[in-house]
Amino acid sequence: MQPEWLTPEEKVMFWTILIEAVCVIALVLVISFIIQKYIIKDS
Amino acid sequence: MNTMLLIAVVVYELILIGGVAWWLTRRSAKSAGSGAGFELAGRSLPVAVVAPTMALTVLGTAHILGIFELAWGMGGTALWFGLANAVAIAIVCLTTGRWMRRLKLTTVPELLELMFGRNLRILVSCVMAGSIFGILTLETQGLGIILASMTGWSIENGAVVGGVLGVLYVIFAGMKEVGWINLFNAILMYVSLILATIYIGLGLPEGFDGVSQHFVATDQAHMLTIFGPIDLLLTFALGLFVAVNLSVPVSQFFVQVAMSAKDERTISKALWIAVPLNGLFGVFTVVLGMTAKSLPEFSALGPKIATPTMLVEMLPTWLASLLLASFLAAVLSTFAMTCLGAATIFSTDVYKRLFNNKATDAETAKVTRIAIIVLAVVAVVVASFLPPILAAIGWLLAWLIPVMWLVFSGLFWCRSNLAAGLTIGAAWGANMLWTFTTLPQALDAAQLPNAYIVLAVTLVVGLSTNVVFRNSAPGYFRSGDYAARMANT
Repeated sequence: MQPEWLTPEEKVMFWTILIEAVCVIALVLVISFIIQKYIIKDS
Repeated sequence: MNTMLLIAVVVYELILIGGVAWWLTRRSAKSAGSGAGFELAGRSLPVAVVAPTMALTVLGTAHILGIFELAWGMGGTALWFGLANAVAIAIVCLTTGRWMRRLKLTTVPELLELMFGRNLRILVSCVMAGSIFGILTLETQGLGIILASMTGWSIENGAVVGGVLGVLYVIFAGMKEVGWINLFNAILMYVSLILATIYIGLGLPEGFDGVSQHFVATDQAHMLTIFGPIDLLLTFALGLFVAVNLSVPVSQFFVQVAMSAKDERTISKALWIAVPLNGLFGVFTVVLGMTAKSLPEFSALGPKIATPTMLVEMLPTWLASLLLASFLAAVLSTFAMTCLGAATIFSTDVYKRLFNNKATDAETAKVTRIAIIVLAVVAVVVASFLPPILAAIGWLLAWLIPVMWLVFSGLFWCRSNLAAGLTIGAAWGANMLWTFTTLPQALDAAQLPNAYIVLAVTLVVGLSTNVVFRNSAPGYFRSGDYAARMANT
């Protein structure tokens, strides 16, 4: 069930988890931006 | 007992709270104690205060002790608890928070009265206040456990001192006080977390690489990523997303922060700071929890106390004090907002709505203050018995899922009191049946969390009753009532 790009040799816990979290948060922010700009028309 | 650590942290909190309260009282002597000024900071909070307060309000015991413990069993996947709350902040900033700020409301049940009448407002007030009180009890326990695990003090003493600090956090100037203290505490929180993580990493024989190697060597490599086993993602992560994101956006203690913002634009801007501020906190607690598990001397202590013990033993006193202060800040902010949220419901939806329609802002603020103290005292007493509240959190949040449906369908689709009553009755009934009867076992579905069941019942009954009563009043935003209200404000 592991993402293939994360082979055990490449895993460095802190950075892996930090980068994955940053990616998820960035996705949330991008979706929020699209909603603000095109649906709410706030900006 | 680590007396130095305890004294340093309590003195820090007292100086910060006293300083902010004194500054606010001097700065705005007239408005600080008034009704709107107390509960909603006079609807004047800027982005710099709204953002950290949003981030810290949904960042409490579960983000610290809960994630320490969850990381032990599921590793990086535990981070989804933090990420679910970050998404909830975005939902509030894009939807409910903005709408309630626009309508100049004080409580969420007030919105329900606009759409469905007084009875539903009172009913939801009582249930929402109870749900928030459950979270308050959890936070009170957390205060006691964090103080006990890092200083060696008893949990009961920790809960009492934490409860006193929590009341001081909010009692002087209400929302404004909580907001400004949170601004300072958010900075402290991240500085101490980053320093502590670096310090722990440097102190490990092979750094965090060694921790990774431990998990790979023990056949637990799936714990090194937040995208763990699919069954865990579907049950744990998705279950949390449903429970948190369908309840927090209509929960008074969180939406009250948005209602206190200067304007809607402030809420939109706060999203950009609050989401990462909240979401990234869990990265550090997950990593610290996994590190404690990889070290045999701490691993032997078990999931509940291994990480706090590791932090106290591996960090110098000054950094352990900073970290404990930051953990307390995270829990105290949630304690203060849950106290304020439940007290605001009582003063606005019960006292003012039912017993004293002509109450002035000052009288309402006085009732809010009394309610804060009463709630805090009861929470400290209940928390001393250490009930398994963490296990009940899904049940507590599930009560608010039908409220979320009523808010969205009532604003955009149609408003039928009968449909609303049937939906909320069926959903709350299902929540009770799923918890207190053997129905889940009889259906061979005991693994399904309450949130899924309540959501399913809400959608089935809500959709069907709205279709049956589709000729009722149109959604509030499409109605003349809304146009008239906006014209008058």
